[in-house]
Amino acid sequence: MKRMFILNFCSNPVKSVLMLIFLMISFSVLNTAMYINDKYGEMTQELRSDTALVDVCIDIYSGFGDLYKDEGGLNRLKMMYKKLASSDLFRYYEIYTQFMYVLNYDGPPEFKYGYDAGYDEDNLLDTPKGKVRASRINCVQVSKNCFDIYNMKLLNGRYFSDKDYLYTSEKPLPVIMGYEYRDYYKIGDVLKGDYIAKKLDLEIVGFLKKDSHIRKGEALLYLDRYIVMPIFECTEEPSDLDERVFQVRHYANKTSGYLKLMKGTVIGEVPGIINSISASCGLDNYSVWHIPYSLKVDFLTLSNEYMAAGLKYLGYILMAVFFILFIILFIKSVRAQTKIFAAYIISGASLKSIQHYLLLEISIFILTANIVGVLVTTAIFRLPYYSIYLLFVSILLLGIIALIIVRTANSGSISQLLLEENKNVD
Amino acid sequence: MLIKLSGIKKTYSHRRRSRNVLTDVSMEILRGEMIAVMGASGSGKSTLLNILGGLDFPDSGSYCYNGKEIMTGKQADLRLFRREHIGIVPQSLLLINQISAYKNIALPLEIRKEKHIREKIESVSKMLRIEELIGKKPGKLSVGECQRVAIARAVIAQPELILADEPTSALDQDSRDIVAELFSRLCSTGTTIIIVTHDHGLAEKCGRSLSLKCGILH
Repeated sequence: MKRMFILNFCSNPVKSVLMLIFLMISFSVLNTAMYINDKYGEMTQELRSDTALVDVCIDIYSGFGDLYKDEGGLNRLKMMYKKLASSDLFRYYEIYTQFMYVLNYDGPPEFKYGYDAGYDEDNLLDTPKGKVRASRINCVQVSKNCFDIYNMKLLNGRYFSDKDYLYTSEKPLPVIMGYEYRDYYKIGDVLKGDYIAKKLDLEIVGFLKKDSHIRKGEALLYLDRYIVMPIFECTEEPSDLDERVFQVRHYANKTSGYLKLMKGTVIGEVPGIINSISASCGLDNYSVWHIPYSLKVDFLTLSNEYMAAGLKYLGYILMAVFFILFIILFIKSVRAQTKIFAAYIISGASLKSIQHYLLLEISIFILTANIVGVLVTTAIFRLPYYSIYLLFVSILLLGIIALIIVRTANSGSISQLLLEENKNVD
Repeated sequence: MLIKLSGIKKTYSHRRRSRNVLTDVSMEILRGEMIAVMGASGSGKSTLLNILGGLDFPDSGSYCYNGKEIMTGKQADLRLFRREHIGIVPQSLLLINQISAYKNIALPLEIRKEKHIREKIESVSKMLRIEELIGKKPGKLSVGECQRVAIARAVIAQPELILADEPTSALDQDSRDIVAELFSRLCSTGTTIIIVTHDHGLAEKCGRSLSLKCGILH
């Protein structure tokens, strides 16, 4: 068997090397095409769900404490919010992840804030009825326009209405629950909550579909285990210090969000724009930072949808061409070797062992091509990647080769060869 | 009796036309016989040899070797039969050009995983007077020299039956005598030899001559 392999490889090294090269190219092309297809598909799905990718994150962080003491502080924050929400230079999206205390929570612990990090212990909160056990639950506060750009589709129930964004203490606050809550609560259930020290009744008005998500900076935030709350406006003036502290904190949250720049707005000018708004409202500077999409955005810029699709189909065509060339070369190689096989057979070798040898030879070629394919993709994208299609194609190719072997290297062909060779001699 | 063929028929089809190559061939061959099969080109000699060597199946008929039916239809049985009993010198020689004559001769022994290969090859080479040639590749040898290498490969594993298709066609008179002498010596040790030949001189040295005409044995 070893001798036969060496014989074949050495009898026509050019053909053997060509076969190996064709196979390696086709597998590398396939693996790379599938990588592009997979990653591009993943990215477009991600990006399509965020058609208005936010460019800038702003955050209030300095001088925050003074706003509690200052009676005009809250108004300045409200003014800031209004200016952000009505700017012509950008669209403003409010997204804030502030956990919510849920009183006497009896749902699964996985939904608790800090569950993954191991600090999800319950607390005791003061209520008019005394101390009550409260659990910190993952909660995200969003503005209404977030539903337009992020993948937040309803499984059932209703979206937030404009009225839901105007909070009054007379009615419960509507909330939409993440997908995984559907087994524990139903629409119409009311939870007792505590949002930055304000007691709220939370009425469930809907459930999100599985894998609903928003983008927080560079990362996607999946909402399956989150409570989604409208980042409401307070319609009532604070009646006491506690209420004012609550509203200051709430508006501080409301003015820490994301901007999508309008056409013509230069990203470098954004810190100046934001800080001139904050200065006009009598507030200190906001921290402003550009959200880099690094490779993802660069890659998307380089390869638009058509280009990626073109690459994929080009990959398929190239692969098909190299495959056909490989099979043609293989058939030629088997025919050229029939004389050697015949020599082995008249010397006592079995046809089966020859067929096994041919399959082994091709298996080695295919294995090598698989390894090279993965190495090439890894070298290009610096990420190891193995497409399941490679395995599928390998099995398909082995099947085709096995058929060719059975058809060409059989007893009939050997005895026929002997007779034909005899005719040539005659 | 070593071989008994009864009613062997073989037809080849080509482009929807079939041709009877062997028609009802029956023969009996004793152990240690040396038989010449003669006939014109296309008379079915090589096909008969292929069937005798287990390289091809007849369409019908029976082939008993040592009282056992060979044509069971199983490739494994046929391979075992070929490996254990047959040595073949094909007309086209079928030497592997990429390896030396020595390695070509050694092939049957390597497949059988036999020992003392060198000694056996030296002995056969001496008999066929090819000691000087065995280091060379077949491409560097004359046709006559290749023919002797192919004969050496056929006899090296000491088979019971040697089937030789025109083994002396390219040999000069001296070489023909050497081959004839070798075959005679093998016959005397009980080896059966069937030679397809046009060489009347070689046929005369055989114990029996059979003639094939249009697939019918006379």
